[in-house]
Amino acid sequence: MKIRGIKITWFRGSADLIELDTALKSLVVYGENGSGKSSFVDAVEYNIKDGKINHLAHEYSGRKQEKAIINTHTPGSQLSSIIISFEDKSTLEAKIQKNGTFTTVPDEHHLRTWDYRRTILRQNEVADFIADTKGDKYSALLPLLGLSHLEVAAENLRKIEKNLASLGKLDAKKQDLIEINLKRNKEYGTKKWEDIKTTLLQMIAKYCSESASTKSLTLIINETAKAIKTRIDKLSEEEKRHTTLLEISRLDIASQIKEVRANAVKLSSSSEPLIVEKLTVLKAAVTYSNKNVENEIDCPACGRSIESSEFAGHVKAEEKALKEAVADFDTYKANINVLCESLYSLKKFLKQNSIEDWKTSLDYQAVNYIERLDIEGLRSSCKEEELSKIEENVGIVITAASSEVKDPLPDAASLVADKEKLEVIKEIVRGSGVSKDIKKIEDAISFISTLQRLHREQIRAKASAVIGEISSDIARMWGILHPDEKVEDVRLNLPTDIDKAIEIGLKFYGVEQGSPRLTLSEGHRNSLGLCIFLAMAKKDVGNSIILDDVVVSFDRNHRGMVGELLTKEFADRQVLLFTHERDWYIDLRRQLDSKLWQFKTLLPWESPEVGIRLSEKQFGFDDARAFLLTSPDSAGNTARKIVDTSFAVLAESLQVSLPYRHRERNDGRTGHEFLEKMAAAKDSFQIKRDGSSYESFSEALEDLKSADKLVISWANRASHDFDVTKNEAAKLIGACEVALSRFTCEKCNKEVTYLTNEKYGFKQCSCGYLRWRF
Amino acid sequence: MSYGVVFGRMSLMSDISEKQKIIDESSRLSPDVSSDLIDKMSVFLDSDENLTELKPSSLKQISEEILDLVLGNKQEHED
Repeated sequence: MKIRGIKITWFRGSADLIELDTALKSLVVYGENGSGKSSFVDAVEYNIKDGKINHLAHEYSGRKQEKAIINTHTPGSQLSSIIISFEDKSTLEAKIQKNGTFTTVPDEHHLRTWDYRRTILRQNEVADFIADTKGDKYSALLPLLGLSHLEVAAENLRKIEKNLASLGKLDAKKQDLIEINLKRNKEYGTKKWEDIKTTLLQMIAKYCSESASTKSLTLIINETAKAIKTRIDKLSEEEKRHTTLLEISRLDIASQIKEVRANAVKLSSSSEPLIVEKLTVLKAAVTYSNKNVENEIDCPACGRSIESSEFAGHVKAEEKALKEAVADFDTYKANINVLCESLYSLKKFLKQNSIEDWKTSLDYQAVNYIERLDIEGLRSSCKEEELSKIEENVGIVITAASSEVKDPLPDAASLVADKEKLEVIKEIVRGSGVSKDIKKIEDAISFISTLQRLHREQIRAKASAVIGEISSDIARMWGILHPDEKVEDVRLNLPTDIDKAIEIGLKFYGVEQGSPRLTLSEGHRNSLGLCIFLAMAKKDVGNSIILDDVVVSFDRNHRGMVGELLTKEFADRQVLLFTHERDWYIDLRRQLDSKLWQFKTLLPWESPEVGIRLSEKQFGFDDARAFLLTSPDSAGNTARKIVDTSFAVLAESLQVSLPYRHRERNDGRTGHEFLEKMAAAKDSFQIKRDGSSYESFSEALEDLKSADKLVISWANRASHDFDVTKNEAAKLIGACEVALSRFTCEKCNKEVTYLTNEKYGFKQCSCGYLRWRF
Repeated sequence: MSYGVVFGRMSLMSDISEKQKIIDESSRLSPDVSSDLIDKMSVFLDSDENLTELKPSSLKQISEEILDLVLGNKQEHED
């Protein structure tokens, strides 16, 4: 979709309405720095990006960029506005309020769906793609790849995978299993399940009369526990007292505290918050390591400055060490939980009526301490000071209980032992269920992960194909800009070891290079950035392409090739090209087909109230006129610069040669030398006045001579002595403008360089009214 | 169960062994749960909702449904 015109009012540098009319052709707009070229580019970006302009996104521009978007001298009654019209006769109008809020008419328009990165390329963005990370390059290309739906699916799967672990409480289940195994090891050591089951069967036979063979294991255990409890309930008061004291005496809290201390020593070099924080940093670091970092970096894992190639290894080693620390920490927490359970049991036992008299005989402070102990607080923060107090007070109670039961009642002792064994068996059976749940969740996660991986592989396969096509375009465009240069095989590719990443490869004098930043000059990198942008834009659906001062770092040779590139590759597209390079503008006027291209010139900036202005003239002499009032010297000097450039370019095209001078003196030739030579070539410049035969174009030659005289005297004075008057400068500008205009046909409005006949040695305008013989 | 339907979305996969890998992966789950989960993911991957980035609440809902399927009971979840 081509842009028909861009109208802006009090937007950026504009004041009253200024319109850039493209007539649906491609367009080259010349204007010196600050003349307002970028305001038109900003107008398009503003609409594509829903009221935002990237280069204005800074702290000084205001929340809605209103301090930068609205002309500082906008009259109170005026609003800023943008109206963009299109090939399909639609328009999009944005009205911007003083506070930066804006409305558009209509609400929806196709311009707002255009992809900025395939529409507009600015000077500062040319090299950005080259310098971007691999991930950002991928993001930039993703819309082109047509794989967004697969990326969305893969990303959804990744999030589901993450959710399954958190919602399934996978970590808590694993922690639970560690605690169960600690209890099993304490009660049964290394005994296998079959041996433990034999113990269970013996208890079933001992306490249950009914056959258990047809019942589930959990049901059998519950029934056996119930039978043991019934037997305990039937004991005499003396036996119950003995049983409770026996249960207290069997609490192995001293060993449990010892285990907690041993784990604490192991973890003395780290702490949970630190581990968690470091793991979070490492996760980010893993992602970071997957992006392209080409220089030396500070490793977030170890803190040292290392080569990027070593980075992934550092992160992996650190991650392994931390995972081991996490495992130790899990065991530490499990031991604390086991200790807490024993303390809860002790509290429960101390509440039994059967031992009330025994309790009164104990150290009151010890009992009071246990009864008031905050066990949950201990679970979240287990300090040595607290452990010592527990050890001391619990020790007093357990020692006293052990002393009371040193002559055990056989039945009661057996019941307590069986009860404890059965409780552990119950936990083992529950642990089996927990273990199965863990496996089911992990299998589901693995399943989802595989689905995600397959999506990623599909994305990679398709992306490779599209990238191959784009690479082919890039290589061809690079070849146009850099013929016969030994930088070849320029291409994009997908790294084999990372998802969502794109690299740029090339061969530099036959040597494979992983990045253009290794060997290419800034100018060449910018040139490559331009090729990549244009290759991406070429894949688009035919929308306009806007290039804003993108050849600043190009030398004259390569700048000249950009015109050829646009002619060869974008004849069917509308290109809006803005430049402050006068030489290039003049070159392009000659180089580009006027059937497809228009040329416009902006006047130099004057003030915010005057705003952006288009010049009526085509040769840029309005640039010089703009200085007449305030600085006649500058006006004359600018006119001389225009003459130097314009006549040099014209002379080259008309094959007007001058004797070679040594080195830079040859490059430093002035417009005067070309003017003088052309003015003397009376047999070369011809005009067909009577419609049948050519004669010397004497008036033009006289105008060239007149202009040359003024250039020698006043233009040089303007440049060196600075004492040219306003009238002298105006006369100089007028004479030069007339001289140059003689080379454009008054009938067909084409330059005399428009058509070339090498065989008969001449150039002429479109209708043949003007002719220049070599 | 119909693996053809399940992996219809991946019909562009050229490497048959890749499809086989995911079938093997699913078979590691118990048969009953496996077919339910694969059917569920098949429906999910082909659904319109998966064409846009899902909201956290939608992601949570489908994750809970998957957990119910694989664990065979309603999970207790914290709000």
